[in-house]
Amino acid sequence: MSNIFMVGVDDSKINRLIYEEAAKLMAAECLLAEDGQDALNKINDVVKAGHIPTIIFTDIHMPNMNGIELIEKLKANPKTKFIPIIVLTTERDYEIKIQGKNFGAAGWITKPLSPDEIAAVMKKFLKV
Amino acid sequence: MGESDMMAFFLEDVLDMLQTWESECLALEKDSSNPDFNELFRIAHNIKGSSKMVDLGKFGEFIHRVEDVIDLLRKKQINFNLTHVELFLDVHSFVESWLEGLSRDKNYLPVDEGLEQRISTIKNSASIKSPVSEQVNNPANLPHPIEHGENITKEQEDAMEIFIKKNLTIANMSEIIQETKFEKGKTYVVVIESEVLDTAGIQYLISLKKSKDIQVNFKITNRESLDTLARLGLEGMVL
Amino acid sequence: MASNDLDTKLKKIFAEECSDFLNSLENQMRFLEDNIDDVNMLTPVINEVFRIVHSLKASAATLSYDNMTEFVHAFESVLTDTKDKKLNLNKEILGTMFEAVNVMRDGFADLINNEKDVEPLSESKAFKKLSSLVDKKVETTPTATSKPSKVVAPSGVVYRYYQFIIRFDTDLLTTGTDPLMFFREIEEYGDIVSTTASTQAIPEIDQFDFEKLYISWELIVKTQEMPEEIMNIFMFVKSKSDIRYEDVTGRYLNNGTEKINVDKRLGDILIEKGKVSEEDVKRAASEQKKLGEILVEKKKVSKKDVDEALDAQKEARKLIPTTVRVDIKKLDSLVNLVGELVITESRLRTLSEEIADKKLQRLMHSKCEETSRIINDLQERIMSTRMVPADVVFSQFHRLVRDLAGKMNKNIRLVLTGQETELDKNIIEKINNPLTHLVRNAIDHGIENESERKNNGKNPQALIQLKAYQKEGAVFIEVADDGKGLDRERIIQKGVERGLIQKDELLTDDQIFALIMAPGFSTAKEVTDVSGRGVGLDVVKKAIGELHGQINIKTDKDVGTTFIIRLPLTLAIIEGLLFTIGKQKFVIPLLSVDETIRPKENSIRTIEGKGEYMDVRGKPNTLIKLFEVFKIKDASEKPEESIVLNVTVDHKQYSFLVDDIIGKQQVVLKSLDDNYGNVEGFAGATILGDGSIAPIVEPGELVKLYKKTTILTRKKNINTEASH
Repeated sequence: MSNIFMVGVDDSKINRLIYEEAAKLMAAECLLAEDGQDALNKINDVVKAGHIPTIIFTDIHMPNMNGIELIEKLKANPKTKFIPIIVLTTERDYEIKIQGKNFGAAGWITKPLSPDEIAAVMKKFLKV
Repeated sequence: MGESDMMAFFLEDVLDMLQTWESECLALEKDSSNPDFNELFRIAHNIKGSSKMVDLGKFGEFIHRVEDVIDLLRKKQINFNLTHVELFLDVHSFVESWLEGLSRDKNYLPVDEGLEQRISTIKNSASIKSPVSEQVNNPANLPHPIEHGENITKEQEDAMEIFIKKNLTIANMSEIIQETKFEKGKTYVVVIESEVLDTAGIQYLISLKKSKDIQVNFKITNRESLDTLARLGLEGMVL
Repeated sequence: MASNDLDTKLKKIFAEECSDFLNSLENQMRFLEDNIDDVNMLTPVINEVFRIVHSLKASAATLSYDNMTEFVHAFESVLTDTKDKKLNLNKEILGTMFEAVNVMRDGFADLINNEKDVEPLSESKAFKKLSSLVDKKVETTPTATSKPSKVVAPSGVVYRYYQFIIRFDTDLLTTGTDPLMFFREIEEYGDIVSTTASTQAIPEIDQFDFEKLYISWELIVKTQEMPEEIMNIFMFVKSKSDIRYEDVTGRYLNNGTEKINVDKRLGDILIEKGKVSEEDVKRAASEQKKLGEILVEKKKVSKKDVDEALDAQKEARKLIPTTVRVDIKKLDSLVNLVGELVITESRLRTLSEEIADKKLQRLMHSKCEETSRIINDLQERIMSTRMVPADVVFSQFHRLVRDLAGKMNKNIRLVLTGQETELDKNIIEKINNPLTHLVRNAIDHGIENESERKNNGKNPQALIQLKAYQKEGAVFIEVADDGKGLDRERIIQKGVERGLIQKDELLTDDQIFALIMAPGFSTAKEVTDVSGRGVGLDVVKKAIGELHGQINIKTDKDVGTTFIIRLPLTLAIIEGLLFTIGKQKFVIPLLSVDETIRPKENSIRTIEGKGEYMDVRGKPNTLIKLFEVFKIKDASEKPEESIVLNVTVDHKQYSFLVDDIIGKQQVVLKSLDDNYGNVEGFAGATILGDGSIAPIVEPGELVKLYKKTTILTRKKNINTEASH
């Protein structure tokens, strides 16, 4: 098991599966959620248990709580403030990229998702 | 060489050395965490020696006094601070104009505007402290660079040890800053046992180093941490 | 195989998802249909429909069902426009959407059953209807690969060195990003030869904010890749950070071979070769004997190893050129002598043309060629002895910037680039003052203080860059700051106030910014102790002019200002254009001539009270008849029988009327100062091949001279008229 604890947030089952595969490629621990609220709940739980995620991937368009709101809430909590957040976007969606950045996202990844790309981003953000 | 040729040679030679002197001063100012005075000492010593060959008594005496100050700093008989850099830069300007005057008239003597006074003050402040016993180095054979974290002077033997075991990363910074308290005027040896070091953590360490009210020295043995420091070009600032 | 596993899993989930989504979709759309008239109810439902279709598209794309993706994308576009209120939902549109859903149902069913993509659906009615609703832009389906375009690296094993100056956004750390990440990635593209961090901005602990990034870096990277590839690494942060690069290969490579670090100590060489450990060397060095001897004595290393290392050190030392101190006057006289050689050779060549005996003439000619080649070589080498690296001037600025920044309480960093660029020693000496003025100006007036910069979202530490480089046969020196830039409107205002320009006069940006260097732009009252505004800049321009150089300004409001100085490689030899007026020959520096033309009769016009103008492609150039200015009697006065040289002085176009052009020639500039003092209009003179003397015209000075004489002539005319 490597030191990576990744979180993948997406309302699409397929994408969640791809996150899982990416985690396997990096021998990383993986936590999945299907929308912003679900992600927030699950992340808060693990953080309380002393286990801080190393990186979070999230889609923007989701029911219950979208990606931008999720980022906002994560940044407001000092315990989760410094976790790098990567947003999922389409090639042409400059607005999402800019919005994401303004709210504090660390980067983006373009659709469609591929386990290799996700793994590459994880490697980039490793601190060791 | 004729007398005037020797003088011309001397002037050019010293001007050359002054350039190095100046850049040494600027470098010291930029990074005053682990100051190395050997280069400055070497230059002062050389200039002093050369001045004897062209019979410039007063000039040589002045340089000798500057050399004494550098020596005191080298032996840690006085604590280094940035006002010393100011002094050395002023010495630079002073010597430069002295040389310019000499190029016109070999008996030229500049008007001193307090520089000598400042030098005397510093030299006097040193005699109050007890000198550290260290062998007098032959200036021609300079001492080898000191090992990281091993330069223990009398002061440091009274230092308090602080241990940092958490990872020095931004996520932990808030806690670390709360937990690690430093008192003004005291000396510390901070032993860093963190497995991971990131830029935020290193900035914190450098900030501590820069703080004039406390004296900190860091000890890092973890290979990866040293590697991180090197990668970021920051070993000199921390160690 | 793992990927097949994944594939199967994906397809299974895809099938499940699709049917879920499609059912959901139909439900939502029925709701829309029932409530089509109640717009308020519709918004959340439209959003939900959008979300579902969006997800369907993404899934199809993930599995590379491109044709299906294309179709769903068209549907999504309609929904996007509806969501954004660019399209108003009505029964017709809803009908089209239902059709689309049907197509999708069938399509997805096919996909799942056959496990492969459907045929392209772009010809279907539904697709066409959907597309027509969104006819504004032709959106192409996002393709499966959407990576940033890779820059193709040139093949070949050539390494280049780049200096990267990196100043990140101060809030970078709060995004969870660490600079270390980038440096590690750069190492995949090459070697980081040196890393310099600037920690100046880190405050003491009581003011320290751990969330802010205070450090900036300068990296030297040795790589075979294109620098743009490395810049891509910073893709995520580029917009909020300031990252620049320069090619500094010249600093590290000497004709392709690495400049060896000659200061390698014997101990280091031995350690590198693996013969001893660092420990041993350190212990041995603390003793007073020669390192090599001690190590051998203590049996740490064999004598053979030491000898070999010593040889390596000697070899490396051979590559440093040993230097000799030479009085600059001796070099100057050498340059003079070579100049005379050039002239004499030229004479010989002219004379050789007059030899009657053809055979002898040919022989003479070829010998002259040979001599000429040797002299050119000699000239080049002698000129190079006078070449000095710009560093000589640049390095002094560290102190200046430090002192001034301290005085003005500003946080400024100085970065030097291209210090190894060589300049003629004469130029070096004379460029110091102008550069000092420019740097002082930047610090005093260009750069804002820390709080102002922070308020404007700029990096609180300002940057001043001194750059030197060679280009187009000239040397360029740039002084750049990232301060507040020049205020165009204010300059125009001031220009009008000072009578330098007319109100509403049409001027290019270059001409406007050049005003700040005009004499009289700022009054003495505005001189500050640090830089002497205005008094400094026109002096700078004059100094550059005296060096036969040019100075241009590039500026952007709130971004910064750059002064670009262009200097000739050498002052002594000029590439000249030879022309005649009457029987007299003249030379004008080739670089100053934009073009030469034979004027047509009707291209010259006279404007009452203002003078004559030459029509050059629709624009009027002031026409200066050189024979008038120089008062030459036997010159050709008819423009149609003359030649015009077009030059640019201070961003204005002028046409010089001359008799004829003889040709190009390299001439040695000889000063007239010693014999005649300052002669207006001329930069000096030269001796031509035939022994005659040709004055060298300086366009800027000539224009000034012209203006003076015209005013005098007009005054005379007025007086003579008045006296009638």
